[in-house]
Amino acid sequence: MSICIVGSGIIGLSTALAIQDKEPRAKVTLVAESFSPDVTSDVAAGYWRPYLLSDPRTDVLRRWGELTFQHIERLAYREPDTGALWQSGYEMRQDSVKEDFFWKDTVRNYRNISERELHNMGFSQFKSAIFYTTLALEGSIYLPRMLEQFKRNGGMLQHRRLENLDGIGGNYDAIGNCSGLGARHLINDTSVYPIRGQTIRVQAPHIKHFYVFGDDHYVLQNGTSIVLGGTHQDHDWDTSVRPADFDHIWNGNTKFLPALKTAKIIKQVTGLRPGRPTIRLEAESRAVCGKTKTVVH
Amino acid sequence: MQTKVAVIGAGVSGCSSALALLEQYPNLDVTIFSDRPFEQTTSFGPAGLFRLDKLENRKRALASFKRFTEIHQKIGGSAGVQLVSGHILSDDLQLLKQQEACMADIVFNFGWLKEHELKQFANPSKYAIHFTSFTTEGRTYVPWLVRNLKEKGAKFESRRVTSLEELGREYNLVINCAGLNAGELVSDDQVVPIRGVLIEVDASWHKHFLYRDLVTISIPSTTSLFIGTVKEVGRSDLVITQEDREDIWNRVLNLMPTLKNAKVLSEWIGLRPHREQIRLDLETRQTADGKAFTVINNYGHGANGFTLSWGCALDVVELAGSQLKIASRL
Repeated sequence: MSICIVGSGIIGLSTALAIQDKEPRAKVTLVAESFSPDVTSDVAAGYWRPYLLSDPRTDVLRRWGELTFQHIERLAYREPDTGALWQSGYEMRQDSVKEDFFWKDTVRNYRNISERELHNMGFSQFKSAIFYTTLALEGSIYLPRMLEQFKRNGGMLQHRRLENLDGIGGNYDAIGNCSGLGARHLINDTSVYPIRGQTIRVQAPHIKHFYVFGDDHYVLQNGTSIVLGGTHQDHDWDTSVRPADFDHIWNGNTKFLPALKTAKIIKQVTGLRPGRPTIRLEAESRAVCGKTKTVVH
Repeated sequence: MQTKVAVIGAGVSGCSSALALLEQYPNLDVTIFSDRPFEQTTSFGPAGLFRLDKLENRKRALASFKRFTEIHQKIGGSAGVQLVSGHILSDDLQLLKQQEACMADIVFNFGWLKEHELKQFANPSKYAIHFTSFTTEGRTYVPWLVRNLKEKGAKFESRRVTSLEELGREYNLVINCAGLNAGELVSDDQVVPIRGVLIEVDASWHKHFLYRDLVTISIPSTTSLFIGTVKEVGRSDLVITQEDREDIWNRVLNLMPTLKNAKVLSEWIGLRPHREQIRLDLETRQTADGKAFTVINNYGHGANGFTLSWGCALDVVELAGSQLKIASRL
């Protein structure tokens, strides 16, 4: 059986490895325009926390999320140097809105923090908060590991841009479309759109928690750096770093967390999150190079 | 006549006591005596996780926690103060209940892990607690105290003090924070060293503290991770042995297998200055020439020196209060 996966971000590589794991005799080929360290997954902080999801199917999201969490958890405790790490931290709000997150039983140590405790800690501008322990999976470390594993398992790579699905050729039994934003041109899915994020990577090793301040600021832990954010600009294709966004991120986060002021800035990066009204995960029969194939999106 | 204060010991107890005094009495004449470089003291090495062992010290612990909260909010890392969350795993329910009784209402986020949460650890235990606390790592926090002290005009002298009387001739108030040697100065033989071993490794992705019982530990510092330890009562040799290393690495890797490739940065032995109860009291003494002077003892903190440092310092200030008001023009 031969399978082609399009896309080498976290979704493409995870899919490729999962297939190799389930079907060890399958020949899997991965075709992608870019590989780590040049994909969106490298920019991401890899923070496990459902975010900016308009998909209303919380049952399905919860299941996918839970399985992913368990997978990262196994990495974090059993294997060294995978890019997986635990992080505890706070999400705080200046209003008293209490959301009931569908993922609160997936993370660990989830609890509501009282206003009094928040003020005792010194966060006097905030009224409500939650605390929990979650995971991060750093793309820039994990993706190369996955790629090596994929090749060790006999996987083949093709480094090229596809203009449409026919570009992969007619020799595969099934195709996985994990092309993210690329789906717009690959299969003409115009419902996929970028949600632009700009971040600042800093070194502040004395800060050990993650913090989310309201809807527009966050401080997330990675192994050797901290990711400050953020922005979420819909339909914005601009990947250049913008000074106004830098000011928003830096000024806001250092105001809420003064300990950040001594942080050393390493770099600024942007990424385009591949947004869609709902996540598309389904199989369809489709003509590829004139023959009907199963394509899983 | 201005009161002259001598503090014996420039570790966390001596420096905290001196700083608390100077914050209360800004014009006080304070000299801190130490008999060795800071790197050779017990206060240099600890990762300094705030954690309490005895109910009787709760008040002092709470005062310290409040102080660390303030420093963390205003300054953070450069003072060596970090906010850290983590877990203590144990099969001994009483051990964890004791921790709960000691500090559940002092630290942040104290809670017991639910059954399904216990499985997240590589080699799970029967029970686990979680909390958020501070670390005040010796090698950064004490130098920060010293910087503050110098700004406030405190003087530092390198001298081994062999008797209180020798200081009593020149000083009105002597604060005995001599740690392991404090007992000798006041004919108290109850201070006993408890040897500890810490290995410093490079594992910056390890953001939590994680303990199994109270003797297998991992605590992140501002730049590295400390793993350890042992608790050898009465033992005072300062060289790490191969036996120490094997014992600690076995236990720590059982707790946290992902540390297996971590690079070792340094190794350190510390002697906890243990006493059944902390001695914090006031006594009046006389020099050979009949001059009266006051001694305040602040020693015997064992494994809780950093945790109780500020609370004890405030008690020193309170005891010193009456003496200072009588004898000075402050």
